[in-house]
Amino acid sequence: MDFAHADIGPSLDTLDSEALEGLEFGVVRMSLDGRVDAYNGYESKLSGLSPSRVIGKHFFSEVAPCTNNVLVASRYEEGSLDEELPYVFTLRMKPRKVMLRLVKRDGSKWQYLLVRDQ
Amino acid sequence: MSDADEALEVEHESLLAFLYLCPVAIAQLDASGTIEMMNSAGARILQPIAHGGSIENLFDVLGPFGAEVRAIHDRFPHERGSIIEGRRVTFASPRREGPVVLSLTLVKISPVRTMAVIADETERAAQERAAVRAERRVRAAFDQIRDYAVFALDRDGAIETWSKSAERVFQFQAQEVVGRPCSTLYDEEEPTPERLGDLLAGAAKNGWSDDEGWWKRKHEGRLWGSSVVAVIDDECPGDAGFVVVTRDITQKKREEDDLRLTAATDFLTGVHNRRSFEDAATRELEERRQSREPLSLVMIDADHFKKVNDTYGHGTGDDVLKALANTLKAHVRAIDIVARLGGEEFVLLLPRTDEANAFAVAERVRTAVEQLGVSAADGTVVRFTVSTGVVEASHAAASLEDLLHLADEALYEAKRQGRNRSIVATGSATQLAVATAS
Repeated sequence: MDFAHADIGPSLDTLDSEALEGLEFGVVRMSLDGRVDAYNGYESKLSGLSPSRVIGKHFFSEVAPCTNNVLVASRYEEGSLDEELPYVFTLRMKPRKVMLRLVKRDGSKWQYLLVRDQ
Repeated sequence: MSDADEALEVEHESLLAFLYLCPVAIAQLDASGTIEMMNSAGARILQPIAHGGSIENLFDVLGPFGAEVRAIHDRFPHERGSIIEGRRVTFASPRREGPVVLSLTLVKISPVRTMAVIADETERAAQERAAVRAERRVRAAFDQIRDYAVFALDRDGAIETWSKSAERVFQFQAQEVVGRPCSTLYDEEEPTPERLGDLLAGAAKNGWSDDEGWWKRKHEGRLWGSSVVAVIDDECPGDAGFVVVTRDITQKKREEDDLRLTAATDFLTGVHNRRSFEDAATRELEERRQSREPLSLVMIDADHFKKVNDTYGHGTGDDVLKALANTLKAHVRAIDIVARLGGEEFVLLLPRTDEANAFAVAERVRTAVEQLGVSAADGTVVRFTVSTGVVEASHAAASLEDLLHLADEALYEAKRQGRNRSIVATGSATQLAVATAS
């Protein structure tokens, strides 16, 4: 599975944390109220934060406040969502251009933030 | 990995998390403004204004303002030091409603390194703008309204702000009144010095209070103002005070007074009529009960008035009554009341006057009338005299009826003794005192 995989939501729902480790892009899996459920190795390497530090925390306010804005966090307040968005992360204190994919769909108990290096 | 390395790793991660969570943007720039390091708040704050999405050089991201900042940065003559401190700048943001306001601080650390702190002050700036807008609106309203004066007092009643509307109504300029007690604007004839204190105490207790009274006006006499005073409650007690809105209703007051005067005036002589006298006398008696000040009545009757009417006609009779009324008015103070009770009978109500002084007034009136001459239709100069009865309200229980009765008796005694004389009523203060002593 790659970052641009069409209709990626149902596939992601079937993957356990171990399977997420094999992906070549960052995956943040959150509950619908924004608590982190899974944080894969790719994402962990980008941010410098280990999964144990972030799992269970509120992603937009406690882990990555830089996404707590109208461009990212507010989008998840809508119903279903599958959108790519060029963005700048300050990962390890360096501004870095990334591509985000915001995924949320009806009937799933998860929502995702996917991150790929641009 | 050794324990020490692992500990370092954990510490490093904590530090990263700390910087991710910092709500203020911190960036380290090289000499050209290129961002070498930045925390995530930097991305959050700068992203909406970085139209191209690229955040590489801070000065580029900040657009025209950035160019200005770059110039200031490049011209900075020292190796280190504060370049810009909390400079505010507004950006139009396509993604947000309304502009974004950022504040920027730049500190030069070395010739090749500058630290930048950027805070999003959009919310604060909006609050400040709202406050300024509200103040402008209120001031415009205060300045534009006609007939009303709006001004503010501090908590001790000194004038703190003076609007254009107040200038128009009172004709005083701000510099003439600000800092002075509000009571200095009261008309000098205003009888109660407690007026301001009472007003403010009432407002402090109930949130507001109102009052009507005479105020000074700089150029054109005085004005009758109807005022509402409201408390300005402030969280900081030192800033508490009052707002006063005074409406100039002098014209309305005059009309009302005229109306009242018409209702209270004897149509022939212009002095008070019987009803008006009774109102005033009842009020004075009530007051005397509290103050224990003396109070006297003088009843005056024109002698042989019927003969004047019969001989010279009613027209001359009326002229005699008018001349008598004018003489009475000329011999009393402003606080006294002259009234015509009916026919040729008049009365003087003399507050704060004891029997002896009332008798003196009666005698002055009587001798003045002796000097009067009224021209009749046939050219004859008509001369006449008056008899008077004087009474002092001698004890608290005295009713107006009792006093009029005593004065009437004294007057009758004066007539009986041959007219053109003044007699003090039996049972009046002095005579009671004499009676008690003997």
